[in-house]
Amino acid sequence: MAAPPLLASLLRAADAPAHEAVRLSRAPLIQTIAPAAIGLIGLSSSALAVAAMRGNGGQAGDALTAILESVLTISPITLVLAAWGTPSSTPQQPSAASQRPGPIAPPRVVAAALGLGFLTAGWVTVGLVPLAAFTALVSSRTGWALDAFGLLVAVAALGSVAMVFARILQAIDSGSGTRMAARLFALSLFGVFVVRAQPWITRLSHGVKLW
Amino acid sequence: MVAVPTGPAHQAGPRPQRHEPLSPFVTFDDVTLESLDDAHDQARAPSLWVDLLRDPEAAVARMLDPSALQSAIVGSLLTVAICTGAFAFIVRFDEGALKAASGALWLAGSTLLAVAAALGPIHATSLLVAARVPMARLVAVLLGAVAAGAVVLAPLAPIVRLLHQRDEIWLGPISLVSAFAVSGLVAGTAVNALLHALAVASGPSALSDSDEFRVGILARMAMVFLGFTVALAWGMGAFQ
Repeated sequence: MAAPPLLASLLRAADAPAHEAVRLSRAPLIQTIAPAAIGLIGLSSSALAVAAMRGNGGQAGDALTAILESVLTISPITLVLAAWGTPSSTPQQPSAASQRPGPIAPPRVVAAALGLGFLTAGWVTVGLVPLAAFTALVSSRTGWALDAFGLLVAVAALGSVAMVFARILQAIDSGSGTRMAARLFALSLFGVFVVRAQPWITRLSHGVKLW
Repeated sequence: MVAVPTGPAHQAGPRPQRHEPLSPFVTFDDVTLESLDDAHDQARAPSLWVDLLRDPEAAVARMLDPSALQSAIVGSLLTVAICTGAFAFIVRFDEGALKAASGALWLAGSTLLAVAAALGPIHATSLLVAARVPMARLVAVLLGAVAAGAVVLAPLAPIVRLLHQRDEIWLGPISLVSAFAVSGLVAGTAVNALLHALAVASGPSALSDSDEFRVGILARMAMVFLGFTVALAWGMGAFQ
């Protein structure tokens, strides 16, 4: 039995993100923004749900701001560097008009990769909400476990964005330069997140009481 | 189309040879999956800014085509204005939107004025070294080079803002100056590459040693004049 068209397109985006990114790079820009928006809705709902279980809705704002600022800080320079760099393996002969091979990833493919990364991030974090609810039930004495869970949601979201980005980039160019670029993207993403979320992490560590 | 397999009859053929890892639990209909080779489709012309950054020959081809020259100049001009404006706006956003917007206008305007100011001395140099560049092409080259620098400058803005928020005594100013330095290096490299590519593409034959020498002098003087005026403009825009 085939899935309905909307669900099928979402499943395709999750199952074969590189193919979907290539398709989106040709489609109108709104189709690149749509999966990012859907992912953002999932991400916000799950952050809000986890924070609400703790009884502290403000923390959802902390998490979302840190995630969004990390991605928005790193993605513009990634877009330019991906357009600038030369891939180590070109799948086809360069055309006569330009003897140089194309960029590692054209800007629209990188934008689609980030959009699909957000979609997966929303999907993954929604999947963590039942576990957060279970944690809320079993950790009644102090609330720090749920606070830590909020951090886990943020890290899972950033990890999803970085994983999907790396998967797409390496699928369209399997060279070592591309692999390094994907790792650098992930490292920078988490680096900015740590800098951004430092007050939150410090507050969290003060709340931890192990005995 | 992604479908749930219901039996051995739905087993698809072999999976694509290269490409991304796909879930072994799902059957894929290869017809609906785009070919990953199309990601580097050369048939689609890259944007002007991509050409300026990585392919000076292609950028020069636009400048030599009379019908495309005007759009190359307007495109470079808009790229410079938008990218430098965006840089100033993002870096100064914490001071308030109005102040950030005025900073953006100031930086974009002063960068364009700096290019205009460098135009005359560079043209004069080209006359003196017997390597006159037609004015329209010189305008296109200079704007293109500064546009390449601006394209690298704009995405550095969020990083400068983040570091400025962390430490406005050391990290903020150092990252600001570094961003300008990186952008200046890119613009300098671009002006050199564009002038050489233009000289090669304009003449009927390859450049002689003497031609290379004169184009080299012109490229270095262009870097000096452009560096001087743009550095002044960015200094005023950033530290006004």
